[in-house]
Amino acid sequence: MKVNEFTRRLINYMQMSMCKTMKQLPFSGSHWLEQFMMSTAQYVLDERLDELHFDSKKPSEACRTFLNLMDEEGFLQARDYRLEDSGESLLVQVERDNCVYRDYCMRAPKEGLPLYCARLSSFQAVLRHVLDKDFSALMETDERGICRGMLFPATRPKEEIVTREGHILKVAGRRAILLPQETYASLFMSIKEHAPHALKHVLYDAGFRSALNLARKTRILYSDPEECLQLLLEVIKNDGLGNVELVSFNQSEGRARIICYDSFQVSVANEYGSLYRSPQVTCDLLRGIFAAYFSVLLDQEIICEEMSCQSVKGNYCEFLTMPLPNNLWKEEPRGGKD
Amino acid sequence: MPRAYFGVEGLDRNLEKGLMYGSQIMVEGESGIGKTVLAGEFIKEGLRCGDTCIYVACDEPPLAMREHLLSFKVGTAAYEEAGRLIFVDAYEEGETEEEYALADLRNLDKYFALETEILRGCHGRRIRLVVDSLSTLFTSIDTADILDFHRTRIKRLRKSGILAMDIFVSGVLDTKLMTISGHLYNFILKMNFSGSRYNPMRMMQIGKVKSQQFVSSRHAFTISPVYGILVSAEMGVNE
Repeated sequence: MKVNEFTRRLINYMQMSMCKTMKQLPFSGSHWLEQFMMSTAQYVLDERLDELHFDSKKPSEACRTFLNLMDEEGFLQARDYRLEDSGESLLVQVERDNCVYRDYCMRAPKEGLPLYCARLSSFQAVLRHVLDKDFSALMETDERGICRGMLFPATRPKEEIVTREGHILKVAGRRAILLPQETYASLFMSIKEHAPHALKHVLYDAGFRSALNLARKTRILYSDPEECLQLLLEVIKNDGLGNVELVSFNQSEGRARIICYDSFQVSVANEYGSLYRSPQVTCDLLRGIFAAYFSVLLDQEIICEEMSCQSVKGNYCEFLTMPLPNNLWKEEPRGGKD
Repeated sequence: MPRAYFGVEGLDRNLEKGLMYGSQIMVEGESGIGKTVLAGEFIKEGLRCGDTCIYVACDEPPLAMREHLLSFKVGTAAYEEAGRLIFVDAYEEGETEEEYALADLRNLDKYFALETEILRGCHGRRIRLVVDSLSTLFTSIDTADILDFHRTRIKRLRKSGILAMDIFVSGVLDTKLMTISGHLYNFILKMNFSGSRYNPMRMMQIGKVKSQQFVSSRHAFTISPVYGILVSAEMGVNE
């Protein structure tokens, strides 16, 4: 098969439209896009398995075998790709002009679409097939149009991935429910009615407990606290709790400043009424989550204050974290399952 | 102008319209009953509502209130740095590290000047002021001077829209002085132990002095290390 101009355009349009659709998915869009692209390569692998001889377990050689097959089919020229092993990782280099996905690659950022290198995704599929291991991909293109990619053993916990198995909804492989704003509001309005004194504590503690497990798991995978924190903050966004941004983080002092736009709790307060008698900061769930994140990251009890809130005049919600002095740090048996 | 609350459910439920900024509350109670805990709740509520809270520590160093708030996981440092929580040391006389301190604990003029200076620095903000306890400052002062100070100060606080809580330890000041002082406040909150010696109960009464009578509602309460003051249902009206 030779790729003519029309076929090439068609392939690129398909890439564009997949990205456009995935962007609209409420959950895990990037994960499904990656799966989509890997799955395409997997079909090729399954179909041509007899011809493919993966004699080596070296990532570069396994991917070279795959490239050669694609070359034989006239889909690309294998010699355009430079592959190099670097420890367990694979480094890939190609001139963008020589890549069949060039149009998509150039148009996607202009249209505000996520960019996923289809070639790296096909290599991810190859490596999973040959090494039985998941790899993550990174790609950047310099101003001369040289694409440099890296595939490295995946470490990221897939906490945000939502799946449905029949009538069972799962997040990260564990059963989950979708909680509409109304249900959430009803739950807390009910606590307000029956145990108003406990309301703030329930929200803070619920946030704290629910975040501990994820923070602990993520901390094991990421040695750099800041990198780990960025990933955890991304989870908050993905969960729909608000658009959070880390403004500053002083590790040695245990101090951080985080701002949040469009907090879910502010939205609930605006729509269903405040949980409190007087106008006041309301994002106690987020406060608890941040306290848990930083307590795990810094291995000491960290508390968090909401200094201003969008529900009371603020343009955003602002959170400050700080350590609880050692003499007041009591080990409490809280937190979810390890 | 929004209304304020104590931050104690059960107590706040009785204040349908809340407290107006510019109101003064007299809290009178026995030692160990929970006056400082109530002050802590009042400050916590203020901080959540965006108020600037000033705490004048007369009976213990300011550190005691800091630690009390921290034990409820209130990050005092964040509010102090933002200038929204101000501690005044009126306890240690000269040996303090606090920015604001009262050098002479027996001089009401100096106290008045210090309070004026701090309030001026917070001009334009919604302020809660707690003096814990004002009775300690009055211990060695002449009754006439106390009343004079009281009238001038409360008039100034009311005019400036300051929500103030003045704490008095029962038995420290003369009953007559307490009764006269009570008339100057918008609300009076009395806290005392009741029940038997072996099974004491904490009680609080909140009300106002109307036509020489203290009209109040009475509540039993407990102190929880997690929730602070927990007020049970109203136990009737006392006159």
